[in-house]
Amino acid sequence: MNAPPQTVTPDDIRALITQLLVDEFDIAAERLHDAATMTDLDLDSLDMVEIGQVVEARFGTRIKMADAQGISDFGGIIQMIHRKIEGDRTDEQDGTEDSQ
Amino acid sequence: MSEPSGAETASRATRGARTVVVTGTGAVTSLGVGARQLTDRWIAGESGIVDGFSRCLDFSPEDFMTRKEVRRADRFAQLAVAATQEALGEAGWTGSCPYPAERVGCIVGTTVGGLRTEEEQIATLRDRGPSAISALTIPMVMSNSAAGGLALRHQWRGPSFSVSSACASGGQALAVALRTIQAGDADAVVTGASEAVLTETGIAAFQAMEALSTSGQSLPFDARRDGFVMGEGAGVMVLEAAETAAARGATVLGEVLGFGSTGDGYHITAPDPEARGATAAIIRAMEDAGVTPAEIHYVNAHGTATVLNDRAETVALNAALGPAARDVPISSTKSAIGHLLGAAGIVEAVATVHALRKRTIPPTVGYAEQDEGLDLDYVPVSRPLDAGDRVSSVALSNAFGFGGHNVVVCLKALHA
Repeated sequence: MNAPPQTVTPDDIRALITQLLVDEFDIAAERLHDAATMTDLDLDSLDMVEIGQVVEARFGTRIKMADAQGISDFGGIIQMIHRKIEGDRTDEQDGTEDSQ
Repeated sequence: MSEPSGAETASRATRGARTVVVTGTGAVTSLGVGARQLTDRWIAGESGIVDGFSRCLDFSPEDFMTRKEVRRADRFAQLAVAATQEALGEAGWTGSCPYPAERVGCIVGTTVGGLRTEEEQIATLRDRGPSAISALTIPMVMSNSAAGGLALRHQWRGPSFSVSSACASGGQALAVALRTIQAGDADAVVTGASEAVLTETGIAAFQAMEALSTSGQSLPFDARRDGFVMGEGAGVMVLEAAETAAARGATVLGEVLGFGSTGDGYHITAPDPEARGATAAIIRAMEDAGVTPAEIHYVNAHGTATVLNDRAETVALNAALGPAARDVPISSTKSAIGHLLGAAGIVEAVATVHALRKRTIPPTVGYAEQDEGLDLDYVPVSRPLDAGDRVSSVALSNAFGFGGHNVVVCLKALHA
């Protein structure tokens, strides 16, 4: 029996993504505010895949390239990831499988 | 239809083909970051080989790329970025591109591509499973990633692709770039080649073939030669149609006069001992360029320092140049920087242009003991080029690759 899934807050996600973007993508931390656009941060679809992989490795939730469609800013990335993690957690508590 | 004779295929210029000039060069090798460092140190008889390998120890990708760009590029593509930056600087292409983007091509050769990345990701797959494989794996491993990355970086939208003919790739890229401009598909092509396979697998694979020098020395044409020394690096040339280069007031370093490209049809890795394909490539290069053997002032040999290559290449030079082979100085850049595999042909062409511009015949560093039957002038020490009143010199640059690929490029260097 697995341990019950932990609650992941938006701040947990923000800390993880910020660390990735600062350490590996060379983006200054002060540029990472919610309204910063993907263009401002020079983030493209491949970057989103990398972000998704880091999220999956840490929180166990799979982020697909399609999940990032329509997201235009840093705050949107955090919200999307949080929704996906919460969705997985709810599914697990309900004993249902993610049908993706 | 009969085979064209030499006379019928004489000089492309007489058939109205565009003249293609060299306006920029760049090189990253074990002798430093820069084409002139390479040339000057080679002429001085220095070697970049350390402990049996020729690594670009002075190269830091962060000097040329952001940290994110470095993460997204395999080492072979990083080396190409640096060589390209130097070449563009020399050509005066800093700032805005002097051509409409769709008139600029980017053709970059390699033998393997991103082997280092491939090795790392295979280890990741084994250790952590498929979900841990980087999303950047394919765009970093693919052999066209240097060409694609450069075209993206500089926003060139003309013909852009990779060519691969093993250790002939660099010469092949130069040849294809020449034809691309002559055919009118572009007015300028940034062309080159890059290789970075000094990895666990790369080294072991060449060792398994018994191709590498066991002594760790690169001694082309010398009786003591015992195989090649693996190296890494990149070379780039900016080629432009002469008329468009003149229109923008470019400084011309030389010309690419022509090339010959043939296949051995003999063995997947061993050279044909009768060197029929290599001989034909040399002859075709001269025909394409419209020059005779007597008009060749220097030959930059493929000269790998394997027993078989250097013997076959000597056979080819004697057969193609005839009596003139005895009079023309022949040397191998691999004596100084080892074998850069796919990058060899273009890096050596770059160094050839600069050496001749300095009116210097560069050496086969370390050449001392003549081997039986290897009877040409292999230039043990650099010497002045007797140029008389000439304003330019003509060279052949040979590159032969596994697969039986032979590419010989005929270059003209304008004396500086």
